[in-house]
Amino acid sequence: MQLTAHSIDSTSITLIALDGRLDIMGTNEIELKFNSHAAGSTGPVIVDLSKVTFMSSIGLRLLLANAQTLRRKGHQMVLFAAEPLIADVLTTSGISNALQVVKTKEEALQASKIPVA
Amino acid sequence: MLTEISASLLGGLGLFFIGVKLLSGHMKQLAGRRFREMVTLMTRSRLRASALGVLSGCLTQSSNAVTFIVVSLLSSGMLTMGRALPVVGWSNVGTSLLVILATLDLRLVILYLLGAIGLAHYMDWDKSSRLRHLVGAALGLALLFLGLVLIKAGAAPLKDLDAVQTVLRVTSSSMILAFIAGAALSFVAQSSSTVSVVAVTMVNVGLLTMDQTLMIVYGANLGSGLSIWLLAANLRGTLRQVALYQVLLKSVGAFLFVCLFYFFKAMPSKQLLDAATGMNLSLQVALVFLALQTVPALIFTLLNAPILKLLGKLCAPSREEELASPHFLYDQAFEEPGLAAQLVAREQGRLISFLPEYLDAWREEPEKNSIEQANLYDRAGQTLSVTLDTALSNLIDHADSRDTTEELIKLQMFQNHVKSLQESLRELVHHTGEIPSTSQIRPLSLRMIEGLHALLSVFADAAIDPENAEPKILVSMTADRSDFMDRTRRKFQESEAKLKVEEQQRLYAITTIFERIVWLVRRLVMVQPAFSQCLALDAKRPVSLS
Repeated sequence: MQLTAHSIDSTSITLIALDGRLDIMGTNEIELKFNSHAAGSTGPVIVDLSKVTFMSSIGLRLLLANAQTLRRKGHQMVLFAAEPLIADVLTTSGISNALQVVKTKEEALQASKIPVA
Repeated sequence: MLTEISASLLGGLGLFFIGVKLLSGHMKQLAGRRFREMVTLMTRSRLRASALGVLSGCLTQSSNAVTFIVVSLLSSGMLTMGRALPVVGWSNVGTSLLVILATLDLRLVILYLLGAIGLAHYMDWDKSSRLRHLVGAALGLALLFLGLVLIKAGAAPLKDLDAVQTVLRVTSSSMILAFIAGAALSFVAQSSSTVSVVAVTMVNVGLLTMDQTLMIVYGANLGSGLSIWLLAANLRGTLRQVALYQVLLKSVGAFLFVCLFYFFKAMPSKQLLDAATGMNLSLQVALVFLALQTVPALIFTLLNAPILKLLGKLCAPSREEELASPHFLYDQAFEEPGLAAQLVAREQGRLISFLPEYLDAWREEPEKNSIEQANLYDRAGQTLSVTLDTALSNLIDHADSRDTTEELIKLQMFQNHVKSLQESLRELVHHTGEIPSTSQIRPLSLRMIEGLHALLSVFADAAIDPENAEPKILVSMTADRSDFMDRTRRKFQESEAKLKVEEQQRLYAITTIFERIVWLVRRLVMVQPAFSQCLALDAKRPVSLS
C-alpha cells in the first residue's frame, strides 16, 4: 500500500493519494503516515481513492478516525474518485453518510471549503 | 419362609424405587415451573441461596438433580457462580428429610395418603395440569414408604436365619466392606439418601449393626459424589467447578465422619453417650446423616473464598465462559439498583463489542476469527444476554425510585434491541454462508459484510467508551439504506445475466436483513442512555461530519 501526500499550491489543503489494497496489512503500512498527515494538517484533507482496489473494515475505520481528528480541528476530510465497488463499501458501511464522498478532485476541493458544522 | 422373605424384600424394593422415581420426577416438574422466579428472588443473598438449596434438596430428594439444575441455570446465565455454590452445597441438607421421615412409623399416614390419592385419581385430578404433579409426587411418596414397610416386614425374620447370622458375624468386623458397599450402591443409585434410607430400615430390624450402618452411610456419601463426577465428565470450566464443589463437599464429609467414627470408637464414653440419648438406632443414623450433610456445608460456606480459588485453579473457566460472565456486575450491587443499572450498561457495552465478531469469519479477509470463533462469541453473547435480562427484571422489581425504574426500563429496551440484532446477524451469516463462491451475488454479500463490520466496530468502540464517543457520527452512519438496497436489487434484475430463482431469494433475504441490522443499530444508538443524552444536546445541529 502506497501513500503520497502533498499540499495543493496556494491553499492549505492537503491531498493524500492512496494506492493499493486498504486491507489489514495495507492499513498497518500507512496508518502512522496517514495519522501524522491528518494531525499535522493546517487545513482540510482530500483523499484520492482512485487507485484503491480493496477497502476493508479496518481501512474504513482509519478514514473515519482521521476525519474525526480533522473535524475537532475544524477541518473537513473529503474522499473522492472511489471506484464503484469501493464506493459500494463506503455506502454499506454508512461512511458516505458521515463523510463527504464525491466523484472528482474538483468537487473534493470545493467540498473541502465548506465549514465544519 | 425364605421365598416369602425374598418376595417381600423384592416387592418392597420395587415399590421403593418406583416411589423415589415418581416423587423425584414430579417434584422436579413442580419446582421447575416457578424455579426461574424463585432462583432470581431467593439468590439475592448467600443466606437465601442456602435456604433455596435446602428447599430444593427437600423437594427433589436428589443432590445430583439439584447440582445439574444449577449447572443448567449457570450455563444459561440465569445464575452466577457466587450464588450457585450455596444452592448446591446446602441441597444435601435438604435430602436428609427423606432419611428422617423413614425413621418414623408412617403406616397409618401412608394408608390415609393412598386413600386420598385414589380419590384424587377418581376425580381425574391426576389429569389436571395444575394438580397432576402434586398427585404424582404424593403417590411417589406413598409408594416409597409402602415399599419401606414391606422391606421392614420382610427383613425382620431374616436375622433369625442361621446363614444370615453367619454372614453378619463375619462381616460385622469389616467396616471397609460396609463403606465400599455403601459407596458402590450409592454410585449405582446416584443418591446417598436412598441408600441411607434402606440402611436405616435394616438397622431398625437388626439386620445391620450401628457401626456397619454408619459406614454404609459414609460410603454412600462418597459414592454419590463420585457419581456426580462421572456425570460431569463432559462439563468444562465453571460448570465443572460446580460439580467439583459437590464432589469435594461429599468427600470431605465422608472423610471427616470416618475419622470421627474411629475417634469415638476409641473413646469408652461412646456407649455411655448412646445410652444417654435413649434414641432408637434408626433415628440416630438419620441424625448422623443430617450432620454429615450440614457440617461440610457449614465448613464450605465459611471457607467460600479459598474454595472458589481452588476450584478456579482446578477447572479454569473456558474462553467462552470468560466472555459470557459479567465483568462489572457483581452480586452485592443488586442491593443498590441505581449502581447496578450503571454496571448493566457497561456489560451491555461489552455485549455490543461482540457483534463485529459475528461477521469476521465471513469477510473476504478475516482479522482473526474462524467460524468456530464466531460461534463462540455468539454463544457467549446469548448467555450474557440472558444474565442481563434476568438482572434487569430483578432490578426493576426492586427499584427504589422512579428515576431508577425509568433508567432500568430504558436499559431493558436496549437489551431487547441487542437481542434482535444478535438474531439478525445470525440470520445474515446463515444466508451468507449458503451463497456459493461462484454466485453473482457473492461479491455484493462480501461488500455488505465488510461495510457492516466497519459499522459495528465503530458502534462497539463507542459502546465500550461512551464518554468519548461521538454518537451523531453513528446516527449519520445508520441513515436509511433502503434506496441503495432498492438500486442494488434492480441492478441485478436488469442485468443481462439473469439471477436464478434461488439467488434472487438470497439477494432479497440478505439485503432485507442488512436494512434491518442498520435500522436496529440506529435504534440502539438512539435508546442508549449515554448517547441519547448527548444526541438531545446536539439535536439542533446537523448529524454529519461533513
